[in-house]
Amino acid sequence: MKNLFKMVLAIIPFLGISQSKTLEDITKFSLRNSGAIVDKDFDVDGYYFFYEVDKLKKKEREFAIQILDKNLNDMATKSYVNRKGTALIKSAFNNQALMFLMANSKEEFVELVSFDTQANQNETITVPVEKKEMRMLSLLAATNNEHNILFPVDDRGFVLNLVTDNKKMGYKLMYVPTDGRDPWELSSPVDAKEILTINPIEVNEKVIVALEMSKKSLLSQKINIKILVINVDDGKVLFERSFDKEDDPRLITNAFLSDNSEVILLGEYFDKGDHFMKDQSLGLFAQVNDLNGNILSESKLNWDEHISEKMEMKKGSKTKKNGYIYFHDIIKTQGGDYYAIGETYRKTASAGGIAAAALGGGNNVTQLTITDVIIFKFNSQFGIEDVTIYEKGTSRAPSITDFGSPQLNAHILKNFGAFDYEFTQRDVENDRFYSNFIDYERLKGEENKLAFKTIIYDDGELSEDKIYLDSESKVFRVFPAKIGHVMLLEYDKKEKKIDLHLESLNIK
Amino acid sequence: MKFLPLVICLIFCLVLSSQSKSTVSYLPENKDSIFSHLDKLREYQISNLLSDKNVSKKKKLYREKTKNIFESIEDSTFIFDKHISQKLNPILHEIYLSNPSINPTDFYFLINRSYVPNAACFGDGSFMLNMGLFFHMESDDELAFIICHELAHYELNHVNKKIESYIDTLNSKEIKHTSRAIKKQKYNRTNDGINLIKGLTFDLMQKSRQVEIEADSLGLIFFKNTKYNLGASISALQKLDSVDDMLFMQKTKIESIFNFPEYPFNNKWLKKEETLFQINETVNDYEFNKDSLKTHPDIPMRLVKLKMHENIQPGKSIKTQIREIKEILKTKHLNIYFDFKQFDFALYNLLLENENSINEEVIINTAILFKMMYEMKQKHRLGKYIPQPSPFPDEANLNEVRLFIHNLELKNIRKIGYFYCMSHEDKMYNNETFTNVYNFFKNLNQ
Repeated sequence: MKNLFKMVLAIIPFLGISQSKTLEDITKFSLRNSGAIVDKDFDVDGYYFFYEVDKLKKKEREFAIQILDKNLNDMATKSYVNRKGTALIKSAFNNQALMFLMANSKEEFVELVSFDTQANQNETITVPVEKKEMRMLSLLAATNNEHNILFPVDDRGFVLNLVTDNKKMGYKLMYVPTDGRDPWELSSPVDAKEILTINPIEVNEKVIVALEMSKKSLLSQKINIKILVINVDDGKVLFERSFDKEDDPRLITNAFLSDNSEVILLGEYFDKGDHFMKDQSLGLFAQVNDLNGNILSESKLNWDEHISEKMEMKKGSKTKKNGYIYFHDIIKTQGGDYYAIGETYRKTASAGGIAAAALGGGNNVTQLTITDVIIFKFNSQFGIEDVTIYEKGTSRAPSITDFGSPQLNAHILKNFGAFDYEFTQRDVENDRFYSNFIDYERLKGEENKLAFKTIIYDDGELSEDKIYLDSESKVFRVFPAKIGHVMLLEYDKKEKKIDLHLESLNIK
Repeated sequence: MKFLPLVICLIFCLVLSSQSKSTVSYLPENKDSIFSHLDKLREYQISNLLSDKNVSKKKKLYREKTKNIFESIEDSTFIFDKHISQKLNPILHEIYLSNPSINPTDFYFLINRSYVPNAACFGDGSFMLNMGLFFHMESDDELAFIICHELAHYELNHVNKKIESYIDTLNSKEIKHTSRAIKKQKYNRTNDGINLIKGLTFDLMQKSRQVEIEADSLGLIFFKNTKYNLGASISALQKLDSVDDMLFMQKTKIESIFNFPEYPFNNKWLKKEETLFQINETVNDYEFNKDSLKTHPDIPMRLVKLKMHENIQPGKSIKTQIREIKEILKTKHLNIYFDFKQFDFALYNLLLENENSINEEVIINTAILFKMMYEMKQKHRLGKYIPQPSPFPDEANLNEVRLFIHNLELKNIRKIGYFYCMSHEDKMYNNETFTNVYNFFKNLNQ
């Protein structure tokens, strides 16, 4: 609780605590939520705290948004009035404006609230959203950390990614310019027979690259992927490419836009008829496209042919110790190399699940056992250069279904945070990346330790940095921060005090 | 005085620090007797309350105030140094001897290690002088006037009146009634509550303004009785008025001091980050009066009032004691910064010394500082102690040092430490501490 009452007391040094409970009570700001303002490279531009301040009249509330910069400096506390139940969903910064997405499910609207570089509030944009659309939007936000509802286009505007209730669920991308140019909208066809969602994943000053997903029903696990490359100026689709199960099934992990606006797609490719959610991929691919959709080059790397030479593990073999690899991200360096970051996992029997099943419980008897971090390095032609394995403690997650493939379980469990992977931060300026994991270190002769581990790419080399999260007197938690840093929340068990500070990740 | 006088004009303490290498003591040797003395002072205050209203609340607040002072002592907020006390004593004696109406029997002066030039009267006979005050006052006369001003607060019983008036106001029928009424409101409760507090704050500020003028006035009478130059009352206040702009006024030559032929200074180390807003200060829709946040509000008005009392002319200043106190603190302040891991302050001061008065001690301290920063950064602890750079223009030169510290990567610290030592190797070859630190960096850079 932020309490303005205590500010009065600061005037008298050493005076001590407040004397009027009533005055404290009537000046309380109730914290609704807080979060980091993060961009597509996982770089943190700042932090926000969203408070409910006052009831102004029936169903009208005063809120306050407190904004800290990336260095935790208090920049602004702005009053904001809206209807009861309004929540702050997402924030983004594009160098011209700081945008907050507000939503009110009862009153059925979302609102874009932005502040200019002088911290003055711009005109708000309110969009009516039906209950069903809001539910779907919340579901997408809750089950997929990487779903971009609000996507910044640096120095130009923001893309708002909404759900529309057509014949089936569809999407609407609303482009909100901050540079004085025209807004536009891009919607899925009203009569589409499948549920369509979209996720913008990469952008430059010319184009937005978005992944369109389609499936027949909400519960369907058969998802088709399409890439859409959209003109930032007018929202026209420059080209789209489908990666259907029947023709060319692929899982797009990442996309990059090169300096000459080539669209580079990275991910895993599959056998015809296979599905990326359920089946084992054949390997990794990199595909370079021009803005007209012409494929300029494509490199494929087959597990059996290419990768098994570099590592003893054979991808796809259920008998090998390391099992499968779940790829979290693929990064392209300025030098043209690619780094694919994954974790190894396998399906194992769950002792607890078996025991519970034997006692008549309904638990699944299998689990995913997640082990090491694995990083593949490929050259610009996508030839494999190196494989680095970072050992880490085993994590276990009960399978969602005993009958599904390990891949299906992995895809679903990924959204529940079952993997130890946290996020990868790209530092384009210094040509670095920081890939973060949580590790429960099992040490011989010592107590096991929970550690936050970062694998850092710098100057062509990979190195590791580590922060232990527990000590005798303190507990640490790690949160995203500006490039190359983490925000540490330090709890002193004895003093019962919380301390927040930024610490840089160290390159040895 | 009802209790036995405990003669503690100044507390002289020997080193009793848990920090073995430090030459500064943060805990008084006779802590128990000091605490017991302060307890007695407080109980005397409690037994002499100005009114019989809200007695239990006032007692509680007085006890909390003393507890806060104890905690501050335990938390190493203050420094205890007999040499400083010895140098301060002649100034105090001059004031006491010139003003027989002042009874200093129970007085107790604490020295806060804060760099902010400030002083305070706690109302019970205990006072606080900040380390920054000694650095910013240029003469014994100026320091004496500040002390006279604080003694006037004591003589006029300002602190106790303020505390009691504060409690009485908060517990007055009017405020209670208003706050209860606000609490019962369905709408606009917080805003009305904030406005009520703003009103109380405004009253408090008005009263503070008045008591400062009264303390200046009586302080000037005390001061006039001493041998000190009356003009120092004006110059002392002028210095405090401009202190927010004067702190860390000097720009360091960081780019040239850490520029080595083998490892040139990289401008990236001073590169500022993009920030969310292009503003010069925090924007806050719920802000209280900004003047209240100034280190010394209302000084221009106090100066006008002060000048109305007397025809104050500049005179000859005495600098004997302040010069010696400054010399003592000069040897201590770096230790204090090191002890509390205030590496930003330490580096700022060392940069100035590297530029203006480099000697063996400066070189060793600079090398040690880089070693300590390396170790802290390696353990992911540096950010805990060094504030991140501010986006605002205040304290720009200190901010630049903070920017430098945080922009340096581990490998940069390792190399700067090494090349700094190497550049001073010829002068320092027979200094063991230097050799140890140099070897530390040599090993890291192998």
